[in-house]
Amino acid sequence: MILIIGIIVVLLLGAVLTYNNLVGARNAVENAFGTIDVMLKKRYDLIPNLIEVAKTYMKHENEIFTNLASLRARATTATNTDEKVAIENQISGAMKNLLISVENYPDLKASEQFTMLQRSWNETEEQISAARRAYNAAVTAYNNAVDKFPSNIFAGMFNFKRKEVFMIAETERQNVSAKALFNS
Amino acid sequence: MTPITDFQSFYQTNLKPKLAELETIRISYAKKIKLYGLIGIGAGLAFLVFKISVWPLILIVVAIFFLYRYYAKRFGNSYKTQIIALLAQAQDLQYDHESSISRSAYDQSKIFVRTPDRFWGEDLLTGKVDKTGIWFSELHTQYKSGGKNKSWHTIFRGIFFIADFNKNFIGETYVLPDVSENIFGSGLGGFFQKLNIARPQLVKLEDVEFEKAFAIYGTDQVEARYILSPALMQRILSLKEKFNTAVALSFIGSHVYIALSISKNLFEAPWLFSSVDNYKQLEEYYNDIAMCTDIVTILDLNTRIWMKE
Repeated sequence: MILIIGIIVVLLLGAVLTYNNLVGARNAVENAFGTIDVMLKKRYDLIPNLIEVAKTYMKHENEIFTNLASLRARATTATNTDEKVAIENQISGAMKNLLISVENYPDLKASEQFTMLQRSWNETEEQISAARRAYNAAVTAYNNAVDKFPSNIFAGMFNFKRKEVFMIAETERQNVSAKALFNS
Repeated sequence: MTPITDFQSFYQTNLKPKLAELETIRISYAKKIKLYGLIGIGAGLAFLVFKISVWPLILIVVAIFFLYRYYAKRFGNSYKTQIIALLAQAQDLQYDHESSISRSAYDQSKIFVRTPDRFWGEDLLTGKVDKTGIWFSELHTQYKSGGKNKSWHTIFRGIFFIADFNKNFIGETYVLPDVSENIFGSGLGGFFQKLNIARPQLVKLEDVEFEKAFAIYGTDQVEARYILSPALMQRILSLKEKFNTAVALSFIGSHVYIALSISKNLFEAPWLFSSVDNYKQLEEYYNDIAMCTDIVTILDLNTRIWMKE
């Protein structure tokens, strides 16, 4: 009798621990996603300043500016995660275009204000990339918990579903290639 | 850094004259030791031959040993202040053979959990490589094991290197040699890493090669990744490869602390009975310094494209 009760207690305890572990992993994912959001907001705040400074020097690049401004507006109102990610990637691409055209405006490139803005841009980019990697690590840990025995039993019972990791968009990957940069 | 192709001309124009000065000092010391040694041993042997006692000879040999030590130390000091300092100067560094990385800086790094009972260091080199301030010296820290047969155990011996880091951060991040993962494999090893209560949270990074070599701990998961960018992880691996030794790093309070385990004693003068003008040895010392200043380049610490100036 005592043996049976003992086994039940151990099983219950194991179930509680496994369940809590799953919840913990899921919360870590949400927390990590929140961090990305914070970093992204920082970046949105930078865009108007950058446009403001660059505009005074770059008279003939209106297209880039309107594109950036509209992307920012869309990003701040977007609610869907997938949509957000897509816009983020476009913003990164548009910024890269802007920085490439800055090469044609040496005065702007030399201006201290612009250099500072560029630095803070790099800073937020680096922070966002770190936040994304942290998010991916949290998702991997969570997915492991969902897939691995014995916690996969509970995951199925309580509807814990696998989550997707952040992928680098195809356009962004292409931008990394220096060869493509020189050819364009 | 002055490229090593310049060492030949640097040796000819800057080192040679100093070496010549030092050589005369060395020869005079060596002569004194030989003279006193011969007289002393002669007298000692006389005692022995006339069967008076063996003790005078033993005492004299001991005395000569101490005499040698005394002159070797004096000579060693001149060698360091004149020759090694010149080698450091050639690479825009200041050299102080009597100083070392301070105990407080060592403690601040928190690379080693155990508090040392004995802290020894020498050969401090400081300076700037472009925008990055660097400080490094030899250190040897030990702890005493308790119980009846007390003995000293090394915590760390090698070069302790500190540099300004090029990014701002507020937390603490540790990159430590991965002992448990090497022994137990990634599954069980990871379990032991998590259990390490002396450290903050375990940070699992995506670079497999890096994860195999190091265990990473940090107070903030995002900040640890902000510091350890994919590029920096590769650079740390190449640093480990270049020094070919155990490397431990910590990122705390706008600095990067690097502990490089090395057992050889750096920048020591040759012994009194050989010439100071040893081109090979001088070149080796020059390269040892260059290798340390090179850490700035290897870790790309001069790239200042982020908010920190």
